[in-house]
Amino acid sequence: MKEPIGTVIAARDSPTPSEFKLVITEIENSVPLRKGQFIAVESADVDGTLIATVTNILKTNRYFESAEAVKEYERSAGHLSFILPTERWEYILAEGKPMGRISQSGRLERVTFPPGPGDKVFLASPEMLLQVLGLDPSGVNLGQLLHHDVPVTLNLTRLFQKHVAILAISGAGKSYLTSVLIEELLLRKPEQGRVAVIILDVHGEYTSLATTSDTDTYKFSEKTTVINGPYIQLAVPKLTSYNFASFQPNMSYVQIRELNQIIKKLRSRSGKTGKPYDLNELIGMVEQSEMNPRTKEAMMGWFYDLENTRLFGVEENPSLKANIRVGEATIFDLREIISLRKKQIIVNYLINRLFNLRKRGEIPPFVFILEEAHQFCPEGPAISKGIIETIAREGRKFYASLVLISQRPVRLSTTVLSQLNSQIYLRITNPYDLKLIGQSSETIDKSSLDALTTLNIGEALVSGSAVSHPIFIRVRKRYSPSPSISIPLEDVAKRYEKKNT
Amino acid sequence: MYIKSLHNELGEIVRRLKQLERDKEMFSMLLRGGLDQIDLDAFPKLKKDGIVERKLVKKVNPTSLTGLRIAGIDGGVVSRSYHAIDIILTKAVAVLFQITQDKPVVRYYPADVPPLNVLVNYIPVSRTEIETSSSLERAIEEVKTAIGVLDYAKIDTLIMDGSIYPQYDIFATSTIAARGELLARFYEKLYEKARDRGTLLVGCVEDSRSTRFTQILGEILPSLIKKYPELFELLQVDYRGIIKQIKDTDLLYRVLESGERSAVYRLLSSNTKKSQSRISAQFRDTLFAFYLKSVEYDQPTRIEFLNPEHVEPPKTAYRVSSVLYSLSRHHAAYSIPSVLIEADARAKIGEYELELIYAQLLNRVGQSSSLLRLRRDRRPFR
Repeated sequence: MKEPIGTVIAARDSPTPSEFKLVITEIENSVPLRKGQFIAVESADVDGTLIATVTNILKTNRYFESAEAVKEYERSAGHLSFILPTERWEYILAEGKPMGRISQSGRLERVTFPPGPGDKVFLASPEMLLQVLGLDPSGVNLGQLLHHDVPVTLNLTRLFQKHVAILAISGAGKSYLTSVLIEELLLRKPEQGRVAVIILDVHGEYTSLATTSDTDTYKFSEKTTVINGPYIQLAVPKLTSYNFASFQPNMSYVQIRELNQIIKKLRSRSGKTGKPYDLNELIGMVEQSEMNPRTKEAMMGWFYDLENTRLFGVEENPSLKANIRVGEATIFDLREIISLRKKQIIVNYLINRLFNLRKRGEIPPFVFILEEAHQFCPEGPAISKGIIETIAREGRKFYASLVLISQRPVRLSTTVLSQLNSQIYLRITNPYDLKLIGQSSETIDKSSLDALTTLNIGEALVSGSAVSHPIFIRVRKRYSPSPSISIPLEDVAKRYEKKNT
Repeated sequence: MYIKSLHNELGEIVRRLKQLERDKEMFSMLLRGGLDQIDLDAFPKLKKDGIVERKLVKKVNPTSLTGLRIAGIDGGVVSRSYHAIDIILTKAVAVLFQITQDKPVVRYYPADVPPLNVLVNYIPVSRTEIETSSSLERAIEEVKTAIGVLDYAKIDTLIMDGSIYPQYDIFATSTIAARGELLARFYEKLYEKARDRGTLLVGCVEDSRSTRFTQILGEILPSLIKKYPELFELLQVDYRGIIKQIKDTDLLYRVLESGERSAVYRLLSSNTKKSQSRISAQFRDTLFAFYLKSVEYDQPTRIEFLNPEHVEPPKTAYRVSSVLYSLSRHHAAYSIPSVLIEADARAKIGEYELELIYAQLLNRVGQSSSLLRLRRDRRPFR
């Protein structure tokens, strides 16, 4: 351990097992300690090292305590320091919140006895932090622990197995962070355990991963496949009556039952002829059926509606079974699809199929990254909501993980949000979103919540099952080229004008 | 009944205060009106035993402090009585300002956090004696520090917080008389050292209760009224009565404008000089004082100084007042020199320091009736 930076002091109602104050004694650095940093306290009377976070820092100076005196003296002298040695009276107090005490066995135990006044305080060492925060040296490297020289390497299982939420306002760096996350997954070696990565890219922000360039040192383009939205085709023969019902939420139970009978007949016929059926054949069968004319009419209307989406065919494109590969990323680029309903149908289909394939062990464990998640699993109804809720609840057992990204957490399904056990927050300013985060995450205290509003671009708070204690991080630089949508507005406007005049 | 009586008493106090205020205001106004004409050279006896300048009020000009080395000395004291002993803690510090273009370069003697002196009185003495003793011990510490700092650094002006003359009334039989004698010797040593080093020795008395200046004025006022028609109106008020009820700072707060000082006067009267032999004769006639009003809304400060040999006291007063005025005119309602503000902050002793010493004694001695806290300090119900 290095030189002490401060000493625990006796203050009113402190130290206690849940808080203490220290005075900074280190004078060489003008900023010896920052809010959010981790500190260690060695106590003579208790075994083990107490680890704490700095929750607040107070700078004080007796010469500047009286507003009236400061005003009077400065009116005359310009600045108090011109007549009095003010800097000699400046001292820094900090407040610490104990996280735990590292026992001799190396475990982090609950703090049941306070540090003592006079105990020396040190900056927590990287080794301690690795241990205390539950970091994994061979884990997913998201960047650097804020104000510490410690890489934030999150254990793959702890991060993904119970799903991840990435929440922030627009422009805070969600896509950048997600790109880093994808890079880390693609860089893993077989011996580290690799997964397949599927990205539902609403704005085409991740396609640059597939771009071949001189700067692509890590050959991400060789591990990335981009599927353009208009080429996506959903295989009608693979859809059950319940799948159709999820596309058309007004379908009654009787209609589902009738449809089920029709699909059974079509599958039986297809099995005999070896020829798969399409949506038109399904519509034909509905038309020929002897069901209630009103039911039939409604059902046919729905199927014509689905036919108009031009999403359905006899074969699945791309073949998920063939395209989802371990250590590789598949990006579904939906930027050319305008209709939200169509996008929701695609998401519904993809997640359903992937989950079923995974349950049967036909594809590797995967991480499904969903941008603008509030559009696909909002608090209200949505075609894709049901299956996302299902995978959020049950995906863990089958190693099917979700990463949901949203700029409006308050509009996300609370059922889904409660199942996303690892959270990465970038800057959030909306008070409703902040309130929701405060209520839904018991590990985040008020101080951390307040800090969310002032995070810089590239700074994030990681909490939940990925780490043993919430941590602020600085996201590392991405290795892959940045997407072209980061072209400045001026350039795009100039280009448009040149083209249209 | 009780409330009615209190109401009546307060009414009487208010009436009295208002009357006094009117009288003092009137007296000050009339005196101020004749100031320009008064020439004290007409009273040669005064110079010997009282005021040594021609004019009662002088204008003070601020001076550039750049390059000056100014030291401020202050001490702190805390005392507490226990069942059989009394503990007195003292400390003193010298703050050295070397004034540069923008800010002072500061040094401390003996240190920025000066050491504590622990004194224990084992003999039963009265409460008053303990209080006197505490002040005395602090003064000893301050003067010792002043002597020390003159050896430590070259200083142009040394400003003591308080008087530069031992002010304590100590009875010959008192157990602390010896300490009073020691203080007087230290003062003499300080005078010698200041003189040898060419340092201006100055005392800055914050809340003076002295009436020496008004007494001198009272003695010559009949002659002044006779001589100067501008003062005739003073005969209309009971000026003798007012003079008896007004202390120096009270009168001069009304008479002086900010940036003015009173005339220089001898710190010790001939009576004092005869009856008190605390300091030797060679220094008794070298101690002078004046009142300086640095800012509009604060009372004048009594400034004492040791006049160097072969220099006219008014000339020294001119130098002293310029430096003190420049150091203490930054706050419209508080006019203590900045160097003493810093010294005061450094010399302060917290109650907790006494608690620490007491805890250590208790720890080492164990439960002893001598160390029992007084009842007033351990009441079960507050």
